[in-house]
Amino acid sequence: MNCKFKLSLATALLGAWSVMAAPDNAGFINIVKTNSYVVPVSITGFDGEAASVLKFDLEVLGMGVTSPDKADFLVSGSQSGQVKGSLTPKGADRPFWARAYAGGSVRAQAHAFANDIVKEIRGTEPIFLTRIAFRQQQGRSTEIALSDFDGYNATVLTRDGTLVSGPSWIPGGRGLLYVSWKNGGEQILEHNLSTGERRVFAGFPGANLSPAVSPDGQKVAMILSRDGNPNLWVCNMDRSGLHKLSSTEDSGPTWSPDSGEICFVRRSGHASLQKVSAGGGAARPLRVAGVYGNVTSPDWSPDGKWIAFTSGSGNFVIWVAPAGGGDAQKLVEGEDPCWAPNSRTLVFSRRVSNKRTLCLLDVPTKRVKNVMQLSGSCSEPSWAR
Amino acid sequence: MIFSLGLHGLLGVIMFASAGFRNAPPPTDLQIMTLLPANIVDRDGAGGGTPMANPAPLPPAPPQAQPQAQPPPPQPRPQPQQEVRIAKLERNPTPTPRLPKEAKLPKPEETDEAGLEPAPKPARHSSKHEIQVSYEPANAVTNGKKTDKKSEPTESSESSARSTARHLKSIQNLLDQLATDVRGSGSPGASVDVAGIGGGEAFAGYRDAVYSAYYHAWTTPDSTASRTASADAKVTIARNGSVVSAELVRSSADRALDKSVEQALRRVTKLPPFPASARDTERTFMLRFSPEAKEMSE
Repeated sequence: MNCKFKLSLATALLGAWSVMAAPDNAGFINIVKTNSYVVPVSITGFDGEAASVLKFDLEVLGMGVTSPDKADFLVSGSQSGQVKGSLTPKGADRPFWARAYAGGSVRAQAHAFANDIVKEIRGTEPIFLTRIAFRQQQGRSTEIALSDFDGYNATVLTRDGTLVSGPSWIPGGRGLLYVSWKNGGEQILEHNLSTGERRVFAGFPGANLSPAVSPDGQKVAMILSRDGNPNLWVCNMDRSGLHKLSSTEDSGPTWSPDSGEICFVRRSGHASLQKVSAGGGAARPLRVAGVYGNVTSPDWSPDGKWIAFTSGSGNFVIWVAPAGGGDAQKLVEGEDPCWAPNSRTLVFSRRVSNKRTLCLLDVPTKRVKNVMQLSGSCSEPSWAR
Repeated sequence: MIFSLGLHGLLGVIMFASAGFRNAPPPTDLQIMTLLPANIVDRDGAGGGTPMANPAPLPPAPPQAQPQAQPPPPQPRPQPQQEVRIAKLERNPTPTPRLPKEAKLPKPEETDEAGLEPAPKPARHSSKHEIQVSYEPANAVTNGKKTDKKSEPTESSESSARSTARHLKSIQNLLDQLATDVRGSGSPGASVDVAGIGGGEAFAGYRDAVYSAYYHAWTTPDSTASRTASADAKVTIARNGSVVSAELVRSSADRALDKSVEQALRRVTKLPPFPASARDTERTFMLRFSPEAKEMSE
């Protein structure tokens, strides 16, 4: 009797303890993961162009293609007539979604499918149907060329047989500004892509360089040497309201996403990154730690968090630093970085045996992919956004 | 002799002391690998015994104790996102430059990375570049079984009361069984073959299975606001491995991180079933998701 009582008491106590302990089942399961984790993905059911487009696109966004048993996400589908596909996370017992893509080429359909996959896995803005502009060597001259983000469907935009540089998209992709030597000196031209019309945007005495259109499409920052030194100037898109923002030797302006600030390089003395309000006022240095060599060509990420830039002389290196200043991270060898609309991917140029080629960099994983190789040196890429 | 001893002693001291001045090896970027064996058990370290021994048949449970007779209530999972987004093709306005005569690029050279397909013709941009996405269910690729929609209204209070009762019952069972076993093995000379888990096949705790599923399902946000941000979630898993409920219970105050955790919770719908020896019908786990702020994070 006594024994039975003890037993039931023990049971009750144990029960009470286990009820208390039940909700957290012996503490938290801690899941720690870095954003440099390369997500393993498998692709089945595709071949030819659709398969290679999917592989390329997913690798650009920091995923690794592997076999289904090792993958965290299973991409499967078919391409008979049109691209059909589904995405299944490893822990799911059925596909997350299945979709069919119609219209356009197989290539475009595969890009659209890849956009949907990345949006689900990474949660970032899709980029696989965007375009880039860049400078391309054509014999002894350079021209402005356009292509898909991966280098396919390339066309040469200019045929002036002279030198061009620094293409910069007008937001929405309706046109470009770039520097051309067509009329003798360095002038900034505005090129309307829907009508093909061109006009001289800035043709002041001296150099007219480095145009950058603000993300709201209202203003243009550029470097003009009409006062002697190359200074930072700003005007409206209709060329009115021209005013000078800095009186030092400047280069490479880039806009904050709210179009309120400009980051540029002050080349007087030791080159440094500076920030200035687009309305005017004193420029403030952007302090970045850990960078060696002279900084050039900054580019502000569309989400406003990062500034990518180049440093060095001879061997150029690409860096990324918080837009508010702080420790800079060395990424890869290369120059002229430009952010994709997703604020994760960079397009940049790299020197490979006397030729410059365009590459794509997934910043968190530091993985690099070459875009489709074209004849002639390709450099100074600008991503339409 | 003394000199030699002294010299060797000195050398020894230098050897020991110099180790402290060496630079720490640079931290390497380790990829975490989770190896889960085929059979999952509840407790590690509960080994010993004879692995191949036949487990003693369980004593018949008292008629009133029937916690395991309850089938796990199949909770209908949220359907795989039937609402679909319109994937619009945001191609830039077609560039038809007139002023400079449009020229095609010379044939692109093939590269090893993109060279699988034939060199594409730089297609002229026609305005018909939209892609229509038809969201037909595409049954061909749906291989999952349809779950019966036997949805029963489960009030949390009711279910927690039930699980409390179940806990008490299972403990009662365990103790009863223990008592029977001890009583039965008392005869002299009897060989005691205890069905053990150790020594034989590999084992892993069920928690490891839960960890693995959510680790792989979670894709961290590109950047997080704080180095110490973390979010907590609570998941309840039924005996057959299906996820009964999964919810965020503590926000990280970082929207991107919360969203990524919620996505991970949605992605996992099926885990391995409980070990055969398990008696509970469902289990609840608390998960803490912490992005390791390393690369692009402040």
